[in-house]
Amino acid sequence: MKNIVPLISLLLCSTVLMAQPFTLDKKFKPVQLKLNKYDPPNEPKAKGRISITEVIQKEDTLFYFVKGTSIYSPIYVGLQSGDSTSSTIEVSLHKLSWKRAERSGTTDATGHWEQQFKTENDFGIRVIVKDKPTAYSLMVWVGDEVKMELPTVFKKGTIPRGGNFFKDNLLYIIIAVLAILVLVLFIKFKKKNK
Amino acid sequence: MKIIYKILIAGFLICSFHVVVNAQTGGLLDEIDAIDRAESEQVGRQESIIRQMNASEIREVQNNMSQLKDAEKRTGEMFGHFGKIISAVSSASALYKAMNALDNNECVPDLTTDASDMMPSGCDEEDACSDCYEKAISRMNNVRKNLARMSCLRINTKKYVESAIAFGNDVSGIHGAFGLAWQNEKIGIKAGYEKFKKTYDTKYIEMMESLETALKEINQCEAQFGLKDWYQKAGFIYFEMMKEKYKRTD
Repeated sequence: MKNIVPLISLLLCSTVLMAQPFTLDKKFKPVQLKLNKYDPPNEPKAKGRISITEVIQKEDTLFYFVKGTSIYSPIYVGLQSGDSTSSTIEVSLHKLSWKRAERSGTTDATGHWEQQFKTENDFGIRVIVKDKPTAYSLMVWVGDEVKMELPTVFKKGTIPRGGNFFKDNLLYIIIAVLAILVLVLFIKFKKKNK
Repeated sequence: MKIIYKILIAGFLICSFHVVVNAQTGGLLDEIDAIDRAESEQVGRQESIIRQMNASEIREVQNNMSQLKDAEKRTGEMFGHFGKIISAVSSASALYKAMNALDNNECVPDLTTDASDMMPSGCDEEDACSDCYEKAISRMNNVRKNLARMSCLRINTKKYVESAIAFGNDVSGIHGAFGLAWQNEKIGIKAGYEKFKKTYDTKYIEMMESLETALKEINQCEAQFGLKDWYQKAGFIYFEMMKEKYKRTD
């Protein structure tokens, strides 16, 4: 059973065509956010992988992407700008295409924006700033695969426990009863004739 | 005469050397010009500064939350927000359950089983029989989990390929220049998808073998604690149902 995890990894590797949201523009080079192992000793619930990126954005738009997430892992993406007085930052999350945002929003009064979700394999993050340059930190946390209790596939008590003698041997019992009946009738009939 | 001949050869060699050096330095100067132009273009573009922290830097920030400087302060604030989310839930599993898929149309593994597809069992979770079933059921549940994930991966990949091809066809129709480049790209996408399908089929067979092993192990426990010929009466039907459910049909 331990082989199953590499099996899925192999399958994921064969989905190289899904490396990031789709684009035809070869000049388009999103930055891959690398996930580091994360195991805070005081918070076992946060165990997983994390990426923290400090950015000074001097261009209108920047694109980032994360690879190799599992649908069984919780994901958190957060952005914190340096100065709450600066203009809001627009952030959107992408799956299939950079043209279509799955989720989008702007930083709040404290300069913060965050989203939580689950997804398989890859996703993209687009950040648009109005004032340039703008400094911010971008965090992506991917938790370890959760241990889920799977619903049972068994119905209880529908089958009698152990072997059922009468059910298993019903045909023989009927034959035996009929034979005894015939024998009794035969004996009675014989006695009558005497 | 010999002296004149030597002077002429020397003159020729000096001239040739000069031409070669000129050509080389001229090329070098052109290259330097090109680099200068590229650098000045980069300056004009105002490239952003992107710095990804490594694991030890992240640990450092977390351990020194009270003494953070500028950029680190932002990261510290973010850890604060993240920490609130984590501490609000009882487990990572609870956090996961509260989350939706990123894409509303994204396939998320469905692990529920319809009542009509359920199997009878003679074990009522009593200690004696539970011990026997434990390993086999754990194996079966892992297969269920991985088959559901694999199936979603297939559905999502298919959707991605279809969407990418539709997008590429549209764009290449509008911009003629993309036409040839797109045709090559499309061939690559299709080849990648074919490879994925083959890998899926191989993994599907392996998973089915693992499921069959698990069901036969359950059969042995049923023979001991529950129903005689359980596999023939129930396990086999479940196996066939799973085989059909996760078989690739496209």
